[in-house]
Amino acid sequence: MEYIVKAEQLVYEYSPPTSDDEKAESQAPILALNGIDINIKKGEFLAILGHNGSGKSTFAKHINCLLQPTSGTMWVNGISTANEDMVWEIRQSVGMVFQNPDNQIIATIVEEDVAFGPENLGVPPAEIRKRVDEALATVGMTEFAGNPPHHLSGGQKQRVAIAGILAMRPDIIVLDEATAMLDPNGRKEVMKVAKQLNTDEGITIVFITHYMDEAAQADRIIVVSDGKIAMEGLPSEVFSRITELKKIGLDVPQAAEIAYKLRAKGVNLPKSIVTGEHLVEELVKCRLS
Amino acid sequence: MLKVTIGQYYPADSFIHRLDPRMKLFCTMAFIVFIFFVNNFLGYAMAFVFIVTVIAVSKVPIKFLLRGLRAIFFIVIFTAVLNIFFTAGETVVLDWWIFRITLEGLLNAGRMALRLVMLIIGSSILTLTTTPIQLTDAIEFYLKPLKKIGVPAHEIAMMMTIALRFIPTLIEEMDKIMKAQMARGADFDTGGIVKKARSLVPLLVPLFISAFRRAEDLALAMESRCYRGDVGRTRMKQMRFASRDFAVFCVILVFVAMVFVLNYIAALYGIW
Repeated sequence: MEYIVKAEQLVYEYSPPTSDDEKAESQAPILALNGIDINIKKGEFLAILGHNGSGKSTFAKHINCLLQPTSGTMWVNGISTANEDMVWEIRQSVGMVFQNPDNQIIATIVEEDVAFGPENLGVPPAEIRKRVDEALATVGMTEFAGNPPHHLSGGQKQRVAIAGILAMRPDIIVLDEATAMLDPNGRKEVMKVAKQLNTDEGITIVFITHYMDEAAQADRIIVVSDGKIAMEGLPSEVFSRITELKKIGLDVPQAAEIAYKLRAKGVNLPKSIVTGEHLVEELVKCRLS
Repeated sequence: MLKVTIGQYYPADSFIHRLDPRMKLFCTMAFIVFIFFVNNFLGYAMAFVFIVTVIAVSKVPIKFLLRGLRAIFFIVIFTAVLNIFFTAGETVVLDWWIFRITLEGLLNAGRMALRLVMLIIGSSILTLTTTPIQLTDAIEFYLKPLKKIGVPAHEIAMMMTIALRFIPTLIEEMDKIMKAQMARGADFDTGGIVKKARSLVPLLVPLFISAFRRAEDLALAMESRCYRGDVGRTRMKQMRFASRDFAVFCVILVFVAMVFVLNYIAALYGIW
């Protein structure tokens, strides 16, 4: 099995910011990641779930060498992220989309922003032009190529950010809570593009979120809590462990919860229900039989 | 929503719009410098015809240009008035109490006002017909030779681009903060200048904090997109001089030559 990202016993600690009335030495360093082992398969759509401060974003930043592990190792495409000579290669193959759509657009025109990444890589001008046009077409933003970014909606800005990464020809795209600041429509747009890139272009997607309905659409879910992996498995497996999820402060998709409660009442429903459509389908079946 | 006119771009497809930004920047600079060399009526007439032609070719509506002039109207009037009263001269037009207006003073005032107006129009034409990013590229081009003595040309250009990119974002944010504070009873509209200025302080503090946070996010995003200064960096849009740029270069050379020729003729025949 080929793993595109591999983390072994990843630990990341930092000293908390100290205020004046607290003594620096009295504070123990905080463990943001506490021994994480993750293998991500090539072409996989992985969702990482966790509440605020669980360490999911910290993990994401390790994939792109934005953070270096305190101990343990992270490999991307077989290269250790601690290898300083390979930082730019790793950053080229791992694209990051961040939470705030406004704070990751650099240029004053959409197409110039998409060109920013390949320009940094030293791609020849004609090739950049081609890549920019392709990337914008892929995310469905061609008609906005000449627009200033501040007139776009949140979802459109995130699609531009994704296009900017696509133009760098990455193997993996990490969406670090990229939908957290968007309205429901924007979230759907981003999710749609991410799924499309995964199925059509074979790009590995790491989708970090705290929205359950988004995680439910992934191939696999990893639940992170307090810097550790709490659960791992198919969406249907993870969401059937409702009590555990609730214990670490996470919700389950509404459909899974209803199915769970109905099961408790004696209705015969399979444990794999995650989406509303599936629930309706099973309920209709129950009624018929 | 607040309105910002700095570096405002008027999108159109004209000869001036299509010019290379480097040539446009050079010509504007030349025009601004040599407008101060003009010292006679003939020269002003020529410069006026020149600028009117440029405006016509640029397809920028006069309304747009005049709107830009409104902001400096006060400065023009102020300079003119100073010149009227503080120019020594012999031909007295009006002498009343401590005021003494001379013909020379009036001429000087008129000249100064004309210069200022043409200077503003000239630079407005530049910003109205050039996108900020093109302008930045042009500035980077001219700063490049200074790299050898340690001027960070690329970084300066990048800073300007980012500043331009974030002006609308920060204005929007300021608007939001203002509304949030107004909703809680803050008053920005009444009171004298001092009170108004003071009411801005609680506005600027959150704005600055958020700007710093944005800067941090942006730095991270740039780094993750392989930004490492201008090391091995290419550009998607290459700037190329076309024949029209050389034509314009010739026109500006003729303009400069005319300024000196007309100055000479004026001195010869005593034209003011």
